[in-house]
Amino acid sequence: MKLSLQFLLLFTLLPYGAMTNAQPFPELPARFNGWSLTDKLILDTHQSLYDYIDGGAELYISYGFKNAISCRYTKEGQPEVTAEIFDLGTASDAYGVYSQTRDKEEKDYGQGSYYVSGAQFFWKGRFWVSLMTGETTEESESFLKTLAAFIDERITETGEPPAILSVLPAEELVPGGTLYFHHYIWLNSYYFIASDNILEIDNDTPAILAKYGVPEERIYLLAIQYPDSTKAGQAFASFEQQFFPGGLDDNTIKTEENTWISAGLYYTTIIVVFNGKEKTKARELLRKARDLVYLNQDQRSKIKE
Amino acid sequence: MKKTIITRRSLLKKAAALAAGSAILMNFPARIFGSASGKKSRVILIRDENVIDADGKINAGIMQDMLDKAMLQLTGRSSVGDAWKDIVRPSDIVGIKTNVWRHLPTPPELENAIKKRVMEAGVKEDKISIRDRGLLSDPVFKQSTALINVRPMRTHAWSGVGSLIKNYIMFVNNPSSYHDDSCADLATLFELPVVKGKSRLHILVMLTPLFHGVGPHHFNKEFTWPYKGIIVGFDPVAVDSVGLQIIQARRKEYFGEDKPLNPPAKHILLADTRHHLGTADPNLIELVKMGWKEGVML
Repeated sequence: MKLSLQFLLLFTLLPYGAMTNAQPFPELPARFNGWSLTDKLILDTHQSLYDYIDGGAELYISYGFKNAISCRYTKEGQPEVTAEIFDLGTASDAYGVYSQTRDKEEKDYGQGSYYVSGAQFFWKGRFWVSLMTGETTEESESFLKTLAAFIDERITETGEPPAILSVLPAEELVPGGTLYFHHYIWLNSYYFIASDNILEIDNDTPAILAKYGVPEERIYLLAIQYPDSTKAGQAFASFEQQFFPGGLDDNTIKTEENTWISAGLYYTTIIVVFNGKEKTKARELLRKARDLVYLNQDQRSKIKE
Repeated sequence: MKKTIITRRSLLKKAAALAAGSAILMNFPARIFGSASGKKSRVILIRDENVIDADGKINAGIMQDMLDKAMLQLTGRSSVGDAWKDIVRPSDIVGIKTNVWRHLPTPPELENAIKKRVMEAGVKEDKISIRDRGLLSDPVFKQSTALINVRPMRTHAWSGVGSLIKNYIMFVNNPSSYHDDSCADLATLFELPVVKGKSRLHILVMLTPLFHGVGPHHFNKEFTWPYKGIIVGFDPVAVDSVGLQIIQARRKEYFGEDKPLNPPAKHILLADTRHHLGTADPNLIELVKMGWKEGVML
């Protein structure tokens, strides 16, 4: 019994990478370009993440947080730089945090990166990398980029972005305007839909929100993939009850805002188009996404055959 | 409490006769507020162009003056002393709940300005505590009979904004237990025995608010601006609602288009519609604007 407990303790303390034969965290340098690593934190529980981020931990928890390291770098006369590497367990979730963070997509580091004043972010494989400085100086900004390149080089594994992205029609898709999630709280990120989880989104239902068209004629597409047709049917019925209890006409309904919603359930995927200024636009986007669901399903069927 | 599901369509149906307004509160298409009394919440917004100098240093004298003027306006009293006697009694034990987030803490100049007036109202210094953390082990906060809630507003990765309503989360041992549904029900903090009925004054610091953040703890001065104001009131929901409107207005100005908070600061709206803690409805807020007018955004 004692041995089992020891094993269990060891198991829970091991980094996720060590438990799965996956790549562990890259080792960050103690000194680099005149900057010194002065603090290193290992965050391996939800509570330690709560303590560290002071209320902002849920973003990472909603994307499958496994563990993280946080390193503080200092240099005399410069603002400090914090380097964080989060292991989210899957490349999809690392992409998900990226999709939450970036306003535009850049390819400077990893599989997708984003620079905003004082912060350099990127995702690669199952890792999300966040480098920040409280104040942007020429030197701290330069260090962010040098460190980003260092970490990028040492993360050798890559991964596939979420498969559900494949149901998004490419035409008129806003660059950087997609959000991948599997926690219902992100449902309203682009456009208010509902205060509660009426589409029964959970960890088993990859979902994507996407922006289409110019800002004045913005359309939002929501796609959610369910593990089976029963769950998909239940979720669609719940959505129907709230949004169109009288049913749809040719998959569309006009709202009180004089905009059009177009919705359908295709195999196990619910697709909804919101805010169409014209009925035809909303319906057309729905049909294009539907065709991609069918195409994916056909390809899966052929692979099985 | 029966939970009401709010959808875009249900809102639109109920809000047909109401003016637009809550898009700024929750990315909503129109508004649906809970207050039926029609009674307005008075909120004082006061700004001074010189409260912060070019180096970001706060002028303590001007800070005190702003607070005093706001209190006179809020209470309708003719002297600062009388205004504060409306807030605290000499027998009170006063907890001044601040915020210590390192990038944007409650400024000590404002803490001192409040403490000075509380002491002048007759409260003994050892019956006053100013802090953010460790409230439940602080003897003054544990025995407090009056609370003054004061913090800066900033964007927040999970609750939309760090607000006055959210500032009471340190009155619980497990703040994360209030994080469900992007902190929707933070207003229930005001029902905690250690808090209930004790809040006398709410002050939202808008000197250099943070209007945008990328990720949970990103901070960059570029996403702050010298608004140089404070918002004061008795209704935390109304004060937060005004602060939120300013944050949203600044986001629109900075980004050149509507850029809703993600997630939306729904806890402010729900503090009104679900918990009836106060009003978030701009039509039910009597907003008094004082001082510097340039860039007031309201």
